[in-house]
Amino acid sequence: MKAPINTCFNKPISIAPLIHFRVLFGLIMFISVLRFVFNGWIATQYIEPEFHFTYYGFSWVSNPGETGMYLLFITMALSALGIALGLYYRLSALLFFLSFTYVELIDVTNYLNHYYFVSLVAFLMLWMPAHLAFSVDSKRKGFSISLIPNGYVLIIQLLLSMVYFYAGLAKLNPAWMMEALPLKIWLPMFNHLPLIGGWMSELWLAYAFSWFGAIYDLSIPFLLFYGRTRPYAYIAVLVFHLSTWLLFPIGMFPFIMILATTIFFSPESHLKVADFLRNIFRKKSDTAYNSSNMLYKAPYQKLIWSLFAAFLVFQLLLPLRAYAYPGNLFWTEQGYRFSWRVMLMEKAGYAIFHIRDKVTGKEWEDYASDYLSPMQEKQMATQPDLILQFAHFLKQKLADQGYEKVEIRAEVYVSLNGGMNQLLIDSNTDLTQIEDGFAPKTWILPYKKSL
Amino acid sequence: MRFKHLLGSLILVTGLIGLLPSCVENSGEENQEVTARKPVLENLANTVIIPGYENLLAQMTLLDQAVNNFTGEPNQAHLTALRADFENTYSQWQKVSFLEFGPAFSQTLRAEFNTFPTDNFSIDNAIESGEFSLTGFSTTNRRGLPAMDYLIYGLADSDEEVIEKYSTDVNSGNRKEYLMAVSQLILNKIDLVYNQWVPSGGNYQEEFIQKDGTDVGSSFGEMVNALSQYLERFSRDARMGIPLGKRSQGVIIPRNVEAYYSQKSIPLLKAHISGMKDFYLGNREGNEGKGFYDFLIEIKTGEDEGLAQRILDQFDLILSRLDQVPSPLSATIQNNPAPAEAAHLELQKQVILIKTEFSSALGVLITYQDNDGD
Repeated sequence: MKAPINTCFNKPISIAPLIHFRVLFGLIMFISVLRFVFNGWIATQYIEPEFHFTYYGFSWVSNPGETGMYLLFITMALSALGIALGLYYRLSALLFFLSFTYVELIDVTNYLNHYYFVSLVAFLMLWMPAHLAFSVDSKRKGFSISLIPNGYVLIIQLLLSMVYFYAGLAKLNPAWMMEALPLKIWLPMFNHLPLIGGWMSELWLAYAFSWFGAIYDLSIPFLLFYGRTRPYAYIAVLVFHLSTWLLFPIGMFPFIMILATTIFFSPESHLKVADFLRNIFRKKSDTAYNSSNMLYKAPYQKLIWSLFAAFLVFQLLLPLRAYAYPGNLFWTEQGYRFSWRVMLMEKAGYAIFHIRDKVTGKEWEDYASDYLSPMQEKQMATQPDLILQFAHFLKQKLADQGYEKVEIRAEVYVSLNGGMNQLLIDSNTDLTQIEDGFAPKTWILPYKKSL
Repeated sequence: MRFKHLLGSLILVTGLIGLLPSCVENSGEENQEVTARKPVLENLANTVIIPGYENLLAQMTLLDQAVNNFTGEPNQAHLTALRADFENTYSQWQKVSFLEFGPAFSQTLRAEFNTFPTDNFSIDNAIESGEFSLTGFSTTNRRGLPAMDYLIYGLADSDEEVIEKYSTDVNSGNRKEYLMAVSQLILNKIDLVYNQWVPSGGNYQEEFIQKDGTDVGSSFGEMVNALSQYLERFSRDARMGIPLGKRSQGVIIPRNVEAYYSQKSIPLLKAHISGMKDFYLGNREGNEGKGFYDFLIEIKTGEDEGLAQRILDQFDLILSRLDQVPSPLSATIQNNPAPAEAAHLELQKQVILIKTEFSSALGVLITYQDNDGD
């Protein structure tokens, strides 16, 4: 067992797939950052809200203020460009990883699976020899490499496979497969489209999309790995991601996946593409990839492989933590994040916070809309850990106003997949007495299937 | 956007051709009627929104005339007529107040018409000094219908004394001017908004009907967001919750009710809720058309839960609770808040229905930001 894995990781292959991945990743990140900035989302997500929901264990991450935010985004944009160009590559990769991850850690309500994916890829890029060909760095030093151990490419392929596979596994639930939820709710929204609009209200289409989505996610990693099916698999990647891009507001994610999955193509195909591009630009010289025949040898190769192995094991286990919690995962969302659960449910909630002053006995109500952005409010109202954080924020706010001893209870109604709304958490629980943690939240009420 | 849609359709068609054969037997029997938002938008624009504004403009024109009659010759008959027109206008306002999108949104119609509680001290000071500037957003609590409410009901206890304020009082000249200015301002506003809607003017009607998607700028998106926000902030909070002390650490503020001086809070709130109900149904004065109710039934989302009917029933429940609240609301809140609390609770339940199941069923987006669908 050990030998094949060793060969698999250490087998020399062309550096071309890695280089192409670096350039595409850097460019799409650069575009993503610009898009974020020009959509004005720095203001709406990071400057306007007076409160940010932090990740458990990361409450030390704070919003650096307007100037700080812009500096972070400038760093992000420049370092993404640095990655694409292979300019001060290691420094660029480090700065990109740090600035991107820091920004994501500021507010949980901005969590997107694809942001998490980007952070993970950026982390892996730190350890890659992705600047040793076709880069400003290699040009400057007059030094380039043609061959690298396969492990550097394989780790990205495996990470991508896990993203798909876990996304597919998550779809294997009764609501998605047997009731075509939530697609049954979402698709009729597109009945105004030309040509296909008429089909969108058809129930069979919702089922077809649900099943196709599940089969696609579960099988695409294998089909991409296997040479004979790869071209067809890539066409499926294009159709799948372009469809989701057109139908749902999922931002850059489809393009990131379309570009990232090119790393599955064989080194030979990558070299052919490189030759083809060279010919377009009428360069007669050899491509950057065969100017030398040197094999990259990292000084601490074993250490890097160990790091990658640990990374893979961690990624393999993390999504499984959800199964350790009782109750309906979609309802409690305990262990929901960082698990490639994408487009799985339609959830909407509304929270009423009941305040009671223990000193005077007076009672009143508070609402999140007074303090949060619409996006934050929407996210908070369906996720128990965020409701708890908000209650603690309210407690602090009231203490500042002179109400030192208060009880805060939350009456939260949530509708899951268009079902009848029901109480999400125990509305008798004084949330000021509860601290967040990894233990199951006993104050979440069980989900009752409506009907 | 259009290009994206067309391209999307092409790609999906290509992808779907592969799926078609297995499903052919289904498509024959289930020849579903295509549900669309356009007929709803057309009906709401043509039978509810535009006639609603037209009616408000007509009432407001009458009210402005009555203001001129009264200020020209302050007497009991003119005061009575003025008050009748005021109540009609205020009642008609209730039926369009929650349409905070399109021209009404860009013209800040709600703030212009109905910022309450009104600042009666500032109004008195302005009249006394004779220096009043009623422009700018900071002065909305000195004008609109609540300012008129004060000026024609709140100046004194008896009608004779009110009439004296406009005839023999030292400041009667300024006061007349102030009342006329307030009336003129809102008349101009509603005229502007109405004309921006109609085809002969700004023709927002066409734009409204064309934007038939569910994204943020779409008419459905704007209506659902406006409706849920209005229901929360102005139907529930401003008209009931705030006077009941729900937002002020339990300290009641009875003076903050709508139409405090004329004491019409409850009839106006009932007009408001029935206006919303008609909007939801797509009906107006016996004209039945397609509204959200019909749309929900057509798209069948929430069908098992009877969502469409439950929202309708909730409107009726609010109305029947309001029937049990004695007027004036300000006194009820002070002496016997239980019926008002009960009405508040039903308003709260409607907010929950609209913000959870209704929004889910219609699939409208709240922002342009990317999301994971979770």
